[in-house]
Amino acid sequence: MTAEASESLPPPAEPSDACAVSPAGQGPAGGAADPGERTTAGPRLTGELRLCVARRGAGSVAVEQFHTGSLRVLRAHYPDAGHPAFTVVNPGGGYLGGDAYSTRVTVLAGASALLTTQSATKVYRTPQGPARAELLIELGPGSRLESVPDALIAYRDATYHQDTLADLAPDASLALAEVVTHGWSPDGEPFRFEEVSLRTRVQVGGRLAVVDNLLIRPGEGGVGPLMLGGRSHLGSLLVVDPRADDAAVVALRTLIADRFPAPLDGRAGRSGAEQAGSRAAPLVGVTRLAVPGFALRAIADSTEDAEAVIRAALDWMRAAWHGEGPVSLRKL
Amino acid sequence: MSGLTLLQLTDSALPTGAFSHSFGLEAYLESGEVHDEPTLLAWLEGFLATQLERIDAVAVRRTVRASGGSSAGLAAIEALDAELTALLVPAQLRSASLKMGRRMLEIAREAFPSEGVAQYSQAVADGRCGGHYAIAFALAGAGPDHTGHRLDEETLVEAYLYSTLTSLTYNAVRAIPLGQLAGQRVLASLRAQVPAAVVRSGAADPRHFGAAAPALEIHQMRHEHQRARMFMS
Repeated sequence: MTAEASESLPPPAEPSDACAVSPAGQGPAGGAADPGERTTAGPRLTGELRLCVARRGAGSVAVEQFHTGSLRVLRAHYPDAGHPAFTVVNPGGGYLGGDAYSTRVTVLAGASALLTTQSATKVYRTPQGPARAELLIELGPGSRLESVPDALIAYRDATYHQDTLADLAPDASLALAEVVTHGWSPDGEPFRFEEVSLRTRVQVGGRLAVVDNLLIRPGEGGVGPLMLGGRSHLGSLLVVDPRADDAAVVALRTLIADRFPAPLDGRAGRSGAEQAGSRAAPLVGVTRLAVPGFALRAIADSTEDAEAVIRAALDWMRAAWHGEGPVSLRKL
Repeated sequence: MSGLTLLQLTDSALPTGAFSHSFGLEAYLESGEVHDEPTLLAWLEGFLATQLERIDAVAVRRTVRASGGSSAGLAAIEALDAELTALLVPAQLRSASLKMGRRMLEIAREAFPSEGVAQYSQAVADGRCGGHYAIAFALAGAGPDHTGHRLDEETLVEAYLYSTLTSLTYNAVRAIPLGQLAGQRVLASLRAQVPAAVVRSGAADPRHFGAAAPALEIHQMRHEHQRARMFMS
């Protein structure tokens, strides 16, 4: 396994062992009651990426970057002064059965970063076993990470398991966005994937704070009334941040209700045939977590609609908490 | 004898406060998605297959297995309690579980006393645990009765699922409203489906513990600001 160091790394701002992440098996939520399966089967990873971001002066820079196999990260760009955006690229083009990807992101004290992807993540048929991806996040004191990937698109007979383990200092800020949908066959029929399972465990100050477990199985009523309400897209935004108190959640909910009023007939679900072809407004819910933070969920009829809800929440946080402009993802 | 323990534990008049919780159903009544007997039955079947099977049933099982009174068992129950607080994402669902759980512990201390009930009550009093309903229910049922008999895991899971569906059905009969006989037909249909859910919950992939149904969650979240509510969740 050869490390391909990126060419234009700035010299490390601090000793690189500050970027060291927990040893394997002792991941951020390693002490939890139910670690479940490991997402990486030993060292045979399809792609691996490590990124460490540190504060330098008024901004943040990557101080360590490593990738191997089918994962790359493009050089950071700075749509917002001092707040670097890193774009993850999968040159392989899509995930296949048995693939295992691992990404580790460390944001050191006072630093900030945004993580995105170059394009949608496509999961194709996985007869050899689930495609797996893990995202390990460590956020130091006062640091901040926004993860805003493109949509995950699962095709026929695809099973995808994603595990996100995040370990936050008590005053760190984390925002994890996801959009999930199914692929379309050439004749325009929706593909029925097997299973998409996204698990997120967040520890704050070493204590378990949030477990967010999303499971969509179309074969078991996955698009039924309680699952996706007849919609094709799921959007999710999980935020853990000391600023996200009750008042903040009420303010956000008001903004979302104004921007995305519930479908006019008041119905969340659509009965396919009767409304086929029409695009209904997304249905959105926002709630306070047990720790300062919130979860937002949206079911929608398009990636654009699901992303619009998530962006509205992210942009509100940026304006209210950081005096920043909207998220601007320049796709490279 | 244990048969009577089960009857008292699952009595819909047991004062746990279940009559004031709809776990998101009221948001479906508000939207009109649930409005009659067939739509109610479909909703309850979905609730059984998701929330009840993937969260509550698994929590009851884990509690029963840890209820022997050992220190390892107590540690497992404390970890499960923290896990439930973290994975019940909609705020009303979390507070319903804690409110009904603490009430169930109060009832259990009086009516189903056991070492497990006492230990969990103490952990809640000390602030080490939140006090969740599924755990309190399982501990109340898993303790030995006056003859030393204990309810087994499968029986307790089945009892938990069916008694929760019973409360929800009675709440819906009041709220929709539906006739009493319609409510009994719904319960008879559900009664036939509970055993399979019990079996599935026993073979569940640990990865899926806590997996919620997204549309249900959104309704549970929207209920927080719904106007004119009959129910607290």
